[in-house]
Amino acid sequence: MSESILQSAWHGLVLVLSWPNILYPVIGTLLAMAFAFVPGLSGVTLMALAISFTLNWEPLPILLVFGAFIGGATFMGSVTAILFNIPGTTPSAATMIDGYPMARQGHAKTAIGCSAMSSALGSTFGILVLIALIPVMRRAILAFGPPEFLMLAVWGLVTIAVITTRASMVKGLAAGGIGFLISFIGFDPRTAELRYTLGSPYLHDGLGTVPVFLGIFALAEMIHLSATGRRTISGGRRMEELKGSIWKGAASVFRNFGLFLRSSIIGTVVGMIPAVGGTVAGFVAYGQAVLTAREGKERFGRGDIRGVLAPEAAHDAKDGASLVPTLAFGVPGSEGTALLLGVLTLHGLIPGKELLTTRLDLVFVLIWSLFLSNWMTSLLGVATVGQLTRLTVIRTELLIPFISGLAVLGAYVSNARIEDVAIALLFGVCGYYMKKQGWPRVPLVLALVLGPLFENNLHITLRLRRLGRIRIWSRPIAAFLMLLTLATLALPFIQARLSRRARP
Amino acid sequence: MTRFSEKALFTLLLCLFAVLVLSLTAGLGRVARMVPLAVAVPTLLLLIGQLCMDLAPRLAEGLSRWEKRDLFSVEPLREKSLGRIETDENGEPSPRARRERTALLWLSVLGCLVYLFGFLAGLPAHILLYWKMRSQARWAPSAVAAAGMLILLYLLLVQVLEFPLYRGRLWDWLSRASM
Repeated sequence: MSESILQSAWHGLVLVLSWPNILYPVIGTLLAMAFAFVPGLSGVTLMALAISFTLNWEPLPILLVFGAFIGGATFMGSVTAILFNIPGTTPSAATMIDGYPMARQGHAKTAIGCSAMSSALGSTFGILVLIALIPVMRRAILAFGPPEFLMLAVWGLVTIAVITTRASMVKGLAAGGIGFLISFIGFDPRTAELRYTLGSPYLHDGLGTVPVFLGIFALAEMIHLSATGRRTISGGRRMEELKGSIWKGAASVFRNFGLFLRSSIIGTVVGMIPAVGGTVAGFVAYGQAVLTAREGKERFGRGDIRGVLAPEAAHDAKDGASLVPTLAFGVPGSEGTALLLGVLTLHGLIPGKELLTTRLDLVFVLIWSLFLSNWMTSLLGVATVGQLTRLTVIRTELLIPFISGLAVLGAYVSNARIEDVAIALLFGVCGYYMKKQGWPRVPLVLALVLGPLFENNLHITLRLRRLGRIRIWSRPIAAFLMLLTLATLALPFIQARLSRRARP
Repeated sequence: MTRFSEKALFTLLLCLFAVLVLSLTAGLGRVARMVPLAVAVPTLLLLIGQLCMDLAPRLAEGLSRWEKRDLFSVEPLREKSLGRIETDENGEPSPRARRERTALLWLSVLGCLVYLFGFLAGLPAHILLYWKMRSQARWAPSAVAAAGMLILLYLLLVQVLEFPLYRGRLWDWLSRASM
């Protein structure tokens, strides 16, 4: 690793630990823990709400806070999964399969201890892989020009549209297309001609990304929470005294270190693939834990600690790894990193060459904040789990008007225009129906963020081609990405064919 | 309205949006319309395809055989864990449609209150009404929650940040009428 990277890492660490900077990840982690503990709310909702209130901040505190939001939400979602059979965040769903039966058998503390240790070590694994890949990313990014970035944006969007689970490819691609079309509202970057403004001066600068984010991720979730009608997290169940041993649970990670490593590698690999996310990482790791178990396979699903360890390690290892495509190429790996990409872009921090060379210390600020928040969540979560369970009697619907109010206020604060409130409400309804009807939201948001960059790179590429400066075969990376895009589009069809053949 | 027709209706609305964009694109200059046109046409085609699938479930079923959606084969496990919590707590048929309409109504109420009374009065009023009428909380905690929001907004945004909050259309109308 070159000296400049080590220097940046040290500088980043000093920045994070200095006063009052350290307060940002601490507060961010506490907020993320609270949001992750309440089903219906999530780290993504918190990030969407925070975007507008941090618009005037410097990049340093922004990265500290958002790093903490990404890291702080993961473990706490598993606590409700273990105690109440309700995942605080969707990626914790795989933990429920064995975590809840363990709690029912009087081993709640053991499961939580295992989850905390596995989470913290898994996230450290993902972060170490991210740091190790920084020199590779820096070298790779230098070979990228406008045609490569253009193809990368297309490949990223296609991958997200295709791989996003539980939605058809048509829906994913169409959602991306709609996101692009929305991003074209306003002045054309080359001719300054107005597009799709319908005569409204409000639309001259295009739709603000903040009101759209707030609508799609925060208000839509509030409508969903209200429509599902869950009254309390515990569902009226009385919380008994937590039993088991935190230490025994934590030690189980070292007793099953091979499983931990395999699960962390799965989480890291899955995290680097755009849009796959922690839920898939958790389930894939759980599946391999069952498959590779040498003994006691029948115990899985009935309260086996390995069923808690594997998904926890995987979905926390994913956090660091999902920053690899986000920071290097501007292609996010999850909803959280899609929002992070939006925040970085809003603050003029364009992922890629500049961020990984001249602003590398800021990248390390984000990484250290993520690291710190992951460990802090695990330690604080274990220490306060008894007190936190008292929060589960709070009626979640009482929080809806507060979160909705903050979301519309956030939409207004971003530009001090009341029309932004209407846009947030409109996208809130649209986001809710997208969620309800199985339309993925990430391709739309990503296309909205990438739209201007996509159009700009396309124009530059076409101009260079007209001038005879580039030929497609003289750009092997662009050609490779084009082939990769076609292969990604074909993937669901190939898999369907293979699985039909495999069936007797 | 059945769930199926709602699905098709939503896709139809998206189709109409794409048609509107396409018709507006036709009026743009050659350079300005190039990229939007390249995006709008395939998007509209995809949306029309999706609409056909929504209207003809057999077609969707036939096509789904050619496309594997669960690329990582995690759906059986997901169903196993999440399937047990996606039913109503009391096991009764879901009154979700009614709750959904109510949720949308309350969101409209929030928008109207903010538009008419501004943030300082609109947001606390929304909390008060929501807690009292929707959550059926008692008057005292509802009033305390609303007052808490008011104090937070006033201290943080008005006093500390000196942010020019939107005052609401009603005050503008009243001040114009009194002049």
